[in-house]
Amino acid sequence: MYWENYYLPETVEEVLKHLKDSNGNARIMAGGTDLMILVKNGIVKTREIVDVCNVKELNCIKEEGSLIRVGALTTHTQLAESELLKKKVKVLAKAASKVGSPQIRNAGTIGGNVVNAHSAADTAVALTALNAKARIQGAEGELEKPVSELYVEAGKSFVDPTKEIITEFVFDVPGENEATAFMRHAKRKALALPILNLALWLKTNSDKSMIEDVRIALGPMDYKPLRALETENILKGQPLTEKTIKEAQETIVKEIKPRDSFQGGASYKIEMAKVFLARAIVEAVSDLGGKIDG
Amino acid sequence: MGKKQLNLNVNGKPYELYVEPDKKLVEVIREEVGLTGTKIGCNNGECGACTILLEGEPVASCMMPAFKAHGKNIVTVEGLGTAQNLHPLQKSFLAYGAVQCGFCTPGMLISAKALLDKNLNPTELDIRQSISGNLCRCTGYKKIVDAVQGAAAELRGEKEVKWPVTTEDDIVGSSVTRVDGIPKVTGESKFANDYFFPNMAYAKTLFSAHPHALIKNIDTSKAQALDGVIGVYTSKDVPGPNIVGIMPHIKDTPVLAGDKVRCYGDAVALVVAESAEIAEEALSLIDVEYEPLPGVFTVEDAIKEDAPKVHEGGNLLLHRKMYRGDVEKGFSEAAVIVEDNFKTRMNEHAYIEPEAGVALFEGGVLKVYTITQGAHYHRGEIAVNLNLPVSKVRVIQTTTGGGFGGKIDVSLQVLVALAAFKTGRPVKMAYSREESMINSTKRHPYYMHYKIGARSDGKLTAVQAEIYGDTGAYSSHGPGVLTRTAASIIGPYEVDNIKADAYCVYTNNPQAGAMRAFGSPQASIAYEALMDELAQKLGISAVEIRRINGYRKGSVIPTGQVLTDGVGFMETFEKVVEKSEFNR
Amino acid sequence: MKLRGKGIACFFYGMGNTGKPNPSSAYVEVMQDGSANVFCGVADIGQGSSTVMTQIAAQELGIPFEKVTFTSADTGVTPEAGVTSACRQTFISGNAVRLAAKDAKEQLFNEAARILPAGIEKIASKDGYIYIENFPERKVSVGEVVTTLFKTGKVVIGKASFNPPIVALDDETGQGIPYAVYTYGTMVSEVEVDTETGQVDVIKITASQDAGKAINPMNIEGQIEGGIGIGLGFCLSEEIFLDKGLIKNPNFNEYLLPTALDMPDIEPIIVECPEPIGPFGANGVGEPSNVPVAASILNAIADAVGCRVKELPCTAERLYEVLQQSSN
Repeated sequence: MYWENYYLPETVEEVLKHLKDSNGNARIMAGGTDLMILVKNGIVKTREIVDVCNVKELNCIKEEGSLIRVGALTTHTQLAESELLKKKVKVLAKAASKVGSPQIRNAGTIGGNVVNAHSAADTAVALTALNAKARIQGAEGELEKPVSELYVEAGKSFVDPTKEIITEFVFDVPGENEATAFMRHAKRKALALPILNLALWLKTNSDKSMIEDVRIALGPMDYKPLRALETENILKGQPLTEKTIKEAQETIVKEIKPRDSFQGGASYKIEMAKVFLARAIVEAVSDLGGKIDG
Repeated sequence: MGKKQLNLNVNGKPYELYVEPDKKLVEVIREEVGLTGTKIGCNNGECGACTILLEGEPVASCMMPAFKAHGKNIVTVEGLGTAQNLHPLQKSFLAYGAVQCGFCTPGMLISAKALLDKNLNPTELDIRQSISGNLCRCTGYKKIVDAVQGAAAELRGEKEVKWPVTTEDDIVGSSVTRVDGIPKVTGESKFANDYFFPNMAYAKTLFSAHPHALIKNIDTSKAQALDGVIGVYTSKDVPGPNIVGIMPHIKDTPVLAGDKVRCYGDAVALVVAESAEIAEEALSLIDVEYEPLPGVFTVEDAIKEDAPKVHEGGNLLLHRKMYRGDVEKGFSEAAVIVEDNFKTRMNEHAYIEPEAGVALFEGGVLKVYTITQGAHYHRGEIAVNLNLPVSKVRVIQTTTGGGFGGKIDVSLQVLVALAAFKTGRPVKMAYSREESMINSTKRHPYYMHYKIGARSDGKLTAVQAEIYGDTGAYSSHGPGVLTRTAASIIGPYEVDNIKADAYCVYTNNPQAGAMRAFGSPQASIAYEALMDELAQKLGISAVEIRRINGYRKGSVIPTGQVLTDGVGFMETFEKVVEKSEFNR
Repeated sequence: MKLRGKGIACFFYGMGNTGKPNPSSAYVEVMQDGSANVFCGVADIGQGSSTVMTQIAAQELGIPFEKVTFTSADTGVTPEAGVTSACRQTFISGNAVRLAAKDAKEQLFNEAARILPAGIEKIASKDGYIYIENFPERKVSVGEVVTTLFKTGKVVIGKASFNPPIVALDDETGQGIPYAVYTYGTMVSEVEVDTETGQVDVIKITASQDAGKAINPMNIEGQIEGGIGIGLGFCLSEEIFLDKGLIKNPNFNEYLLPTALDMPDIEPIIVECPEPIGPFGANGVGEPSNVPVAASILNAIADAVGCRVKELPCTAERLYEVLQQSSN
C-alpha cells in the first residue's frame, strides 16, 4: 500500500488547504515521475497525495517586461517546445528536451525536477545558470528564493512538499550580447542520467570580443547543481580567446570534485567538464555572432 | 483503505470505476478496465511498454497513479483499430516487419501515433526521437522507423500501405505477414501476465540474501500467519529431486535451495497469497538463518587450488580441448605472429517481457501457461520435480516477449507449478524487472588470450587460444557455450594448426547461460582484432587477409569437419565489401 | 575532433546443439476442404518460426498459405521440437514440418494418381490442386482427394521427425562433426569517434548473411537488424555491474540497451547459397548477425583513431582512457 487518500485540487489555495488539513501527512505530487520511484522503493512514505496536475494556473511560460515566468507545473515537453524559450532561453529549452524520454517529459514538471533535489536534474542545472528564483507558497505566505539555495542535502529540498509549493520560477530575459548553452554527456542518447551536464549563461561586450559576465552550472558534482564560481571569475573581463578558454579549463579542473558513479569515474567527469565548458562557450559566442580568437 | 470513484474515458468509452487510491494507471487499465494490450516491462518508466495517451500525450502508465487520469481521456492500443479495421500504423507495422515478439509493440504504436497526430511529415530523427522512450530488443528499430514512415505516407494520402501482404508465386521466399501479427498490433495477444482465472492466487519468490552460504534454518511461521497468505514453501515441499538444468548430464540447479545457496539468484522460499502485494509482504516475514561461506567472484580466484568450492565437484566445470595439427610447427612457419588479451563483461538478455506464468489443474492435468523457449523441456522439469507423470503436465507457451536464450532455462515455471500443486488453486507468478534480472541467466563474461600466426602471403598458419568463461553458480548452457566457442575458435577463417583450450568455470556470480550466439560474439572481438593487426603487419589489406583465409567449399573447420555444400561465406563477404565501399 | 572509420568482421555459425542429437517432430492433418493443421512444438519467441513453419507446410503440400493453421509449443497437442535456440528451428523443425507435410502429400498423391489418373512421379501440387505436371489442366483439388480417401475410411495424417547428422566431439581433441549445416556472414560498421570525449556513434552497418534459402526474407532482415541491436549494446553500453555476486544495476535505468536514437542505419543483405539438407535449401539465421557487431565496431574505431579497446563494453570513458594512453 502506498497511500490512503488522493486529492486533485484545482487551485493553489486548495492545495495549501489540503496540506494544512493533513498536518504533514500529505505530500504534493507533480508529474510523479520521480516521486513514484521514491515511494515504490520505500524512500518516501506518505499517507496522502495532493496531486497538483489540475492546477492550471501553474502551467505557463510568460514574458513580462524584462522577466520570464515559468509556472512550476510546466512540463518538460512544454519547456522544450516553447518558441519563446527556444528563441531567448535556449539553455532551458534544451535542458528540458534532454530529460529521460518523451513519456517522462510529458509527465514530469520543472517544479518537480527542482524539488526532487537531484544535483543533475537538467532543468535545475539550467535554472541555476540563469540565476532563477523560485516563488514558494505556504500556509505562512509567500517567499522568493534563488533556485541555488533550495538544496539542503542530496535528495532533500528546502521546499517541504508536505507544507508548501513552488508556484513559479522567475529569471531575467537574456538581453543583447547575452547567450546561453546547455551541454549533456550520457552513456546513451535517451533514457539515461547524465555523466555530466553543464549550463552556461554568458554576456559579452558589444563587439563580442570580451566576456563581461558569465554563470556556469554543472551536475552531478555536488549535492546540488554546482556553480563554478572560480571559473566564472577567471572568465570575467577576459578576451574571447583560446587562451582564456584554456585558463577556464584549468580552473574548472581544480574547482569541481565529482565522485565515481555508475555514470562515470570522477577523473573522466573532470575531463569532460573541460571539454563541455569549452564547447558551451564556443556555442554561446557563436550564437551571438562572435568567435573565439586563436 | 476505501475505494474511490475513478472516472476514465478509455478509447472513447466512459468508465466509472471504484479503485484504491494508490492503484497505478497501468493496473487499472489492465485489471479493472480489462484491456491487457498495455504491457508492464519494467515498472519504472524506463522501457515504454506501458505507454498510453493521456489527453493525447504519450505517458508511462506504470509510473502514474490512476487518479492522475481522473476525468481524462486515455487511448490504449485497443483504441487504434480492430482486426477488421486496422489503423494505418497497425497495418504498416505488419507490412514492414516492425513486429517481432510484439511485447513493445502496443507502446511503440502509441508513441508513433502521438507523433503522427502532430506531424505527418516526420524526419527519420523525429521518429527516432518519438520512440526513444520505447525499448525494443528484437528489431533494431529500423523496420519500426520504416513502418512509421509508411503509415505517415498513407495518412498524408500519398501511398497506401500494401496490405495484406500475401504470398507471391512461391510461398517459400515470400515475405508474408507473420501469422501471429494481427493480435500483436491490436493488443489482443495474450502474454503470460495477461491470463486471469477465477479464484487465482499469486506467488512470489524469496531470493537468497547471500552469494554463498549454508542455510541453517528457515522459519516461515510469521509469513504463514499473515492474513491472506495461503502457503509458504521451501525445498522440503518439493516432491521430486528438486533439481533442474538444461544440460541433461549436469543438472545442478535447485528449484528451491535447500542446504546451501550459491548465488543471489537462488530461490529460497515460495509464498502463495491472495494478492501479489500480500505475497510480497510475506517475503519480508520469512526468517532465513544463513551461515555465510567465502565466495569466489572471478574466474582467476575460482580456479585456484584452495578456492572455495561452489559445487562439490570443484569449480572447473569443463575443459574443452580443440586440438588439430601442430601449432608449434604452425608458428614456426609464420612470418608474423600476433597475440593479445581480451575481456568481455556479463550481459543481460533484456527481453522486454519479464518472466511470468500461470498454473492450474484442469481435469487432472496440471496446465502451465508460461513464457518459454522450449515447452517440452519445461514440462519435463515440472513433472520430474512434482513427481507427476509427464503426461499429466501440459505446458502451453504463451505469446513470448523475446527470449534470446534467456527463456530456455527454467526460471519460475517449476515454482508456479509447485504453487498450484500445493494449493490446488490457479496461481500466477510475474517477475518484476529486478527479479527477472537477478534470477535469469546472463551472457558469459570471457577472458581470452589469442595468438595467431600467418605466412608472409597472408595465409594463417596457427592459432592458439585460452578462453575462460564465468558460468556463475550454475551450469545452464555453459559447457555448450564454451564448446561452441572452441569449435569456431577463429570464425570463418581456415587454419590447419589449432590449439584451443576453453574452460567453463563456476563462481558465485549470477548464472550465465545461452545468449544469442553462444559465446561467439565474445571470441569474435579477439580474432577479428588480430586479423586486422596481422594484415597491418604483413602490409596487406583487411579485406585481403580475410579473402585469403575465408571458408570455401572444401575448407576444414577446427573440429576436422570438411565443409561441402552450401558454403556461402565468400559471397556474403564480397557483397558487403562492395556495398559498404570497404577499402582498407 | 570527430574521426570516422570502417571495420569489418565475419562469422560462421553452426545450427543446433553442438555435437549432440537434437531432434524435432511434427504432425500434419489435411482436411476435406483442402485446408491443413500443422502441429510442432517449436516455440516462437518473436523470431517468426510459426510463420516460417506455415510457409514450409503450405509450400510442400501445395495449398494456399492462408489455408494452413500452425499450432506451436503446447505439450498437450504438439510433438517435441526441442528448444528454440542455436538457430535450430528453421533448419531442424523446418525439416520435420516439411517431412511431415511430405508424408501427408504422398498419401494425397497416391490417391490423386488413381483419380487423375497418372503415374505418381508425374504429378505435383500447387494452390490447392494436384495436377499432372505436363497437363496442368488435368487436376483435382486437395479437398476432393481427402474427401475421397475419407469415404474409404482413411484420414490424411502426416508425421515426421528430423535429427541433424552430427558426430560427437572427441573429448581429447574436439574432433568431430559438431553441426550438420552452417550459416555465414560479413559485417562492415562505420563509426564516428569524438576524440575529445571517447563517444562513438555508429553511423551505418552493412550486414550480409547466407540464409541458404530465404523462406521469409523480411523476417530474415528483422533477425539481422535485431542481432545488430543486441551486438551494439554488447559493444558500447551493456554491462552487468557486480559487487561480490550482487547485481548493482538490475534495471533498465542503468543496464543500457540501445534506444532508437543509438541505432545506426542498417543495410541487410541476404545471400542464398542453398543448403542441400535444409528445408528448401534453408539454414538457420536467428542468432549470428549478433556475432560480428562488436568486432566490426571495434575494428572501425581502431581504423578511426589508431588505437584499440580490448575490453567490452567500449564506453566513451573506456575509449577516452585508451586514447589518452596512446597519445602519451
